[in-house]
Amino acid sequence: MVSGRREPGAAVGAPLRVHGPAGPWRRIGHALREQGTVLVYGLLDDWIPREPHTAGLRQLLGREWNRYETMAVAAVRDRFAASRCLIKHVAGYAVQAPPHTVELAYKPGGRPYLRGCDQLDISLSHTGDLLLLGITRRGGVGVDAEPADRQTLLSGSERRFWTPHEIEALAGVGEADRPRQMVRLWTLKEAYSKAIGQGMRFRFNDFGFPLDGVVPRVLTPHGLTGTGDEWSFGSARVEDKYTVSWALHDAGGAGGTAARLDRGLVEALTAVPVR
Amino acid sequence: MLIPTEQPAPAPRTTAGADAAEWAVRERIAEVERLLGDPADDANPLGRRALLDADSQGRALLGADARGRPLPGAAVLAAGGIAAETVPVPLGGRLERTDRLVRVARALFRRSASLGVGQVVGPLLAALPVWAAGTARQRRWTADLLLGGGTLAVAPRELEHGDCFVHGGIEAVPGADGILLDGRKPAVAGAARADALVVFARTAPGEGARSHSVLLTETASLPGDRFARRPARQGLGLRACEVGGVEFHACRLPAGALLGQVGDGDELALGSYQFARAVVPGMVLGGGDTALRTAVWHAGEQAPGGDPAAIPPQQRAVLARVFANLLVCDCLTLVAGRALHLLPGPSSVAAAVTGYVVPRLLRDSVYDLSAVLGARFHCDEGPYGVFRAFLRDLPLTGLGHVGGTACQSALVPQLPELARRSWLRDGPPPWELFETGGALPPLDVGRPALRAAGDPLAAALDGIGRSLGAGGDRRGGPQTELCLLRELTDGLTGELRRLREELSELPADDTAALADPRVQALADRYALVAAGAACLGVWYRHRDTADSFLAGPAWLVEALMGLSHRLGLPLPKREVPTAERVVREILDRYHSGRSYDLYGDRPCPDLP
Repeated sequence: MVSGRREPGAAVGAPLRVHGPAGPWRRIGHALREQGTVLVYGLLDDWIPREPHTAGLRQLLGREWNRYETMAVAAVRDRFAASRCLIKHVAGYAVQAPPHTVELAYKPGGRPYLRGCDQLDISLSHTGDLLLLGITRRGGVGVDAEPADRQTLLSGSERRFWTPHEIEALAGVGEADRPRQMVRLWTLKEAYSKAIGQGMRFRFNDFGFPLDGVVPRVLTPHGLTGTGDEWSFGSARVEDKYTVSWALHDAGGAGGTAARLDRGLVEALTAVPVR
Repeated sequence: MLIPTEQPAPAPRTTAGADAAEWAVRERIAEVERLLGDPADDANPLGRRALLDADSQGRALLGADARGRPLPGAAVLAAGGIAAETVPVPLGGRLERTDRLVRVARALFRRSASLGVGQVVGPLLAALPVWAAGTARQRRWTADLLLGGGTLAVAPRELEHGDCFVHGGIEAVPGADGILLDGRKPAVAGAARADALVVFARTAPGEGARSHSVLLTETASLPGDRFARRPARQGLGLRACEVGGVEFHACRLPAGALLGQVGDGDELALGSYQFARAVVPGMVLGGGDTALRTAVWHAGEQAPGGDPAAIPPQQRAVLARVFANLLVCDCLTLVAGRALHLLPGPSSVAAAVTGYVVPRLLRDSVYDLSAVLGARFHCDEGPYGVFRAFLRDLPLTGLGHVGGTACQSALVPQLPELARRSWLRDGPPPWELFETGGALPPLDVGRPALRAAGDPLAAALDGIGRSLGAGGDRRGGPQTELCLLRELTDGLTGELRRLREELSELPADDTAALADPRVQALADRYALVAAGAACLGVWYRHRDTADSFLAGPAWLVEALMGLSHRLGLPLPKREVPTAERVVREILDRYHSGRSYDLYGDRPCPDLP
């Protein structure tokens, strides 16, 4: 189960664990309906297909089957299959369709998306035995997960990952608390840059976040507010050993259902004769 | 059918009349630029400062004033007759050609999306049902209103998906003594100050083609206790645009308020959606132009010696990709707009593809520029502030008419039939479809054909693929680049062939079968293939034009690479520096102040 707490201002509930294709799904559906966004996580052991060379897995992976088959390292292959199983089961549940009918595609920068399911945005992160998935119908989402005890430096070559404002703020934090703050900041940065489709292309010393205790938002290198109300962020601790963060962009299109086509439009159109 | 070895040479591209039309468009754009004035002038009511102030005040003031605030400089634009762009020529306006409408509105979107939506998109979407179905008297009245400086707003048909503009529904009960309206729309662009409203209201339960009707009413004639304007909830975008709610409480309108017949609303909605998809994305591209220009300016300032020629390679790659994407978008908007004139029958497919692809590609491109802007991506000052406001506004610019699910709903039901009857079967399309100018037959503004019997984009891909094939056409660039182009075109044609196999298996008009995510994924693939076909068509049509950037294959290679990547197709090796050629064009246009679109013609206002 989830441990840790939500930060103030977060528009998203804490990550919910799904143990496998059987769910549990009820809370996922509730969060998607009520908040339009849900964070889901799974542990590798739960999601690695027990029988890797079956027709079922081939059907589930669809166009990614060849990529899967040519992966030489077993651990990489397993993680790939597990993450795809998680994504497709969650996305399938969200659009009320069988998991294998959902296609995963990639933008030129590498950002994954659900092909043809324009009303949903997804983001995936994995670390250790954790698979974390963000899914939203409010606009755009980015997620990141790191081991909570990951050691990050404030000096040397790693100094380039931090803004002057963050360096100053982190210098004011006690040695004991600093690693936790740094992992949290790092995951927020990753989550935001993934949400805007950039990954590491957006230099990490060009934007930052505040230390915990205030509503998280993007800050400029010198600590001025960088994002408005359309963005919300949050962090949580998962399975007592991972720090996860999310960035959510509300495009103003919230509402509506998870239905895939507009029935009214389709029915009106199909009633019109072809000219 | 083979082209072009067997095909007659394309018709002469321009005539004296077409030249005059192009000259008139450029004159009008220059006139609008003069009206808009110097963006850097803080005293200009339509300058950057005034528009950004309106945006930030919009954040502060929304919800405070149900009457709404006048857009800064709105009076200047009204006096300059911007509304006339949305009124057909026979009624005394200037609406005659889609390309003209798009390019004039683009000038507004270059400054601010709120300006473009408030001054053109909103009134246009409101007026379309009147032009389509109004009586001569209703048309005259509406034209006089708009030409006289009055304002018109639309409460569109509700949709299951989409932004605030399509939420909420209004019900209407027609009776012997008029039509009784009940219900509310939470967000109507321009409602707060509208002199007249076009209201889509439900007149029959359920879905289907006859469930809605459209009414035209003057707001001053509505009883105060039966009609109310409400402050809109704080918006996340279009904050410099007036948005308000409207409410009807057992509000009786005369029977004469009806546009067309009871039940015509669904077809009228589909018609205006389709028109909107064909023209609005092309208008919004003006904001993409400014975003790219801002990034080039910033990158040049930051480069060693302030020399844009010294912009580092990673940033050059981003700039090239973004410009290529803007050109993909403009190729689609060009074809969608011209199809309304040239091929009104099959125009719905190009419009749906444009409405589906352009907003997403544009959004991705503007976000990609964050890697160039760095820390300034989060700056609200000057040109950076304009960039940021555009990014916020972008998702809302279609006012609910343009968007993924709505466009898919228009596209998906048509694909099985096109796959069976049209793809890889039809002869070549009229190549004038891909021309950036030239004569056009008159436009039937209101009632485009909603379902297509043919697909000119698929036909163009097929035809050009054949002409590029072994022993085919040698025109349009050096051999190495043509080889690359051939590979990319073969990739797209192969994808179309696979799509044909999968889609032609589907039953037509079976709503349940069409709502399968697999079918939507196929529609997404088709849209990307069609975007590639639009680019190929534009290049093919211009490949003999001397001194034309569009004639060279560099931009096309970059455009097709991006689309093929999105399709997950194997990419050929880049053996020629096509991206660098695109960057040279970007810098050249930057220095000469020319637009980042297919025209590259008009002087754009300088950045500081």
